[in-house]
Amino acid sequence: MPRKSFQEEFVAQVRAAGITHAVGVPDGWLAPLIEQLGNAADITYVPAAREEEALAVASGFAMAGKRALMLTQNVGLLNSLGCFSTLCQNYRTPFVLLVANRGNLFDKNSYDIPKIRYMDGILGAMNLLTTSYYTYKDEPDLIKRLMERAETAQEPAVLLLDYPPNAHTVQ
Amino acid sequence: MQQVDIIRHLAEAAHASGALVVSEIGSQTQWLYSTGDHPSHLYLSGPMGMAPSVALGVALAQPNKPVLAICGDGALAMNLNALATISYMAPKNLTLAVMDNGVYDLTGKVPSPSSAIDYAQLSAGFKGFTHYQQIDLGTNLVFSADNGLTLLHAQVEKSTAKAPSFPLQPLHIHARFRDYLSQN
Repeated sequence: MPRKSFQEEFVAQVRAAGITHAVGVPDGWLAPLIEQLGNAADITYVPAAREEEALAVASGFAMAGKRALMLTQNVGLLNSLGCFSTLCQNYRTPFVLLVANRGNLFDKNSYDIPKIRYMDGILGAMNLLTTSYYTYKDEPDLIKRLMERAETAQEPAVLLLDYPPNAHTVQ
Repeated sequence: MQQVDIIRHLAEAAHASGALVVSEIGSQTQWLYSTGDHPSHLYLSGPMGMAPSVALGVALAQPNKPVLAICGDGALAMNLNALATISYMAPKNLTLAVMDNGVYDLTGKVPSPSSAIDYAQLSAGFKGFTHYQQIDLGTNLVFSADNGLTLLHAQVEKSTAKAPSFPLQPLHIHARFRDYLSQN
């Protein structure tokens, strides 16, 4: 059986989760996925200029009754904590938030390291529930479960992408 | 022209058109609420500048309904990059209306850098905007789902009266807005 690429599997899971709208800000790890979403005729993808406004667009999707996905690098989330707290958390907007957690052992550039240095502390301080993609990469309904978590908790469900998606493929 | 008067004019036209209304935190939300509450109003309370972006999400999610975002000039200046994203997507059902008094009205009326913006030139520079109009209380306003992406500019005075307090809670506003959409 041919192996699916990460982006093919991920977008298939996005569809299966009923997600019809997505928004994101580019990251090298996420680029193949963004390209796939942008080419999907049944998914509206918004390329946002900044992460803070992407959170607002995703919240608009959610408050208008759509299942939504947002993609960002971790430093983009750090850029946007005020928006996350006063809009996403205050208005309880449910969507799946995929975060490329840059700066770990897969990154060799010194400028990436500060991006991850504060992530655990910030996520903990915000009392955010997060899920590691690495832990659940073989779960076929991962995105659906995350969407359901977001809707049950009435807040964004954060999925941390711990390594570059081309580091593996799925059967 | 007082901000509350043009917001009332916009809200009346929005209701007559069946439009959804997203209002910016601060004086836009407070004055809009004072003109008459409605479940089609998505009042925002933070952070500043996000009304156009939330409205973009709403407009793309509800392409058959007109969507009006009532923005402050100072708040829009904080998220001016949103115009690039909105212009790129260019939803035909979205209208942004900028209330321009050159100050942060609820924040001591200190000057906003927006006084350096020419809104006609701004909308011309973002290619997705197909309409620009300076509006006042005599402007005939009709919102539709296929008007084309529009920027409206209202030159308003600094408020002489204090904007009334706003009692609604975000979760209630969100839930009510979703209920309204599910029934309309």
